[in-house]
Amino acid sequence: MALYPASPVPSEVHPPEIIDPMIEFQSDYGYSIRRPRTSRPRRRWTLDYLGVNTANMRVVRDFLQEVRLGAVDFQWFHPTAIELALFQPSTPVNVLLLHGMTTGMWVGVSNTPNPNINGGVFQITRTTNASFTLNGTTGVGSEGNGNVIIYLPHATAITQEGTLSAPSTLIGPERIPIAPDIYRGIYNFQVTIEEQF
Amino acid sequence: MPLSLSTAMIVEKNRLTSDHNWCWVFEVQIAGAPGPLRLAMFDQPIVFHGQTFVPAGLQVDSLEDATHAALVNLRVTIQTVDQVMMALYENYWVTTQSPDWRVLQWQVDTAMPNEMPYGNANVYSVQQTVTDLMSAVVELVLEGITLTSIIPKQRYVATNGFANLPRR
Repeated sequence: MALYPASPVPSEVHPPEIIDPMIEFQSDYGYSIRRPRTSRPRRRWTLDYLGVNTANMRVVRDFLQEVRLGAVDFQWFHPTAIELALFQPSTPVNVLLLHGMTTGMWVGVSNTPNPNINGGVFQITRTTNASFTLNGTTGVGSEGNGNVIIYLPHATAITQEGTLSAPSTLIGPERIPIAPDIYRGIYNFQVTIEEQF
Repeated sequence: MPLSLSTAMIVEKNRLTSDHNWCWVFEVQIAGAPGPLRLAMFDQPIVFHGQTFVPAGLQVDSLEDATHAALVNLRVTIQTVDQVMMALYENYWVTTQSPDWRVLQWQVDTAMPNEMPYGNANVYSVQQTVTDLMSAVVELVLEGITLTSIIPKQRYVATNGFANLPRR
């Protein structure tokens, strides 16, 4: 499956919108009966790319065209929020971090004292708001710090009515710069990425 | 047999607000086909009495639970007709003179699906199905006393709270 380009790095990744539709029945007598519609909430991120040159803009645009502006799902790692968390050698591995995630979401793990999980991606089970366990892992070694990043095994790009709006042109024209005109083609644009089950 | 809910399900059903999902799962039994098709109207697979029901794009359009003697009709839209569905249509519907497709349906709590007994299915027979090869609409009618059958094949009807008072 395609992987969202790690480079160029967005200038800003906004905290996600949370999507969690519910089934609600409003009674005539003022109370309502409510149930969630899905197994867990989903997230939607907005990535700001500011002052990006033509080459990098084309990298992102080419990728979005390859995934047909949302028809094809892809993998996505959060490009900027690299968390530092405490990993405990329990089975499954327990991670202490004020994470803001729910059971069923995925993370990527690196630089931990447990060599078996470094570089892996794991679905989590939320235990408290400040801890979660990594499904299918076995505790090895000692307690220690490591990095956690948000990972989406299935994400899609969100566009309005199937149209990718044109980037805002700061400086044109749209071409790869040729020396000595190295500042040709600078753009601002946004990409919206939505988590899928 | 009236639909009996376990204590845990009754407690959950009566909650005004809850974080449990309730969804429908279907088992399609086709005469002559190698095995049943198990589908869940949910975003995750549901293991129900040891069998995995896979997520499927299904939509229930029309649920008519008549209060008189008429049978319940259900219209289910299959949002994507994949190769599995297409093969079933080709081999067991259009090429069969009188296709015998039965659909078992349960409402389960996804946090504790096995609280719903397997034997408590609503049993439907497929009356008609049409497809444009992209999506399909399946017309279901609840099994029961019909003109061609005097003895109910399987009971299915939810209880009205009075076990000895027949509903239909």
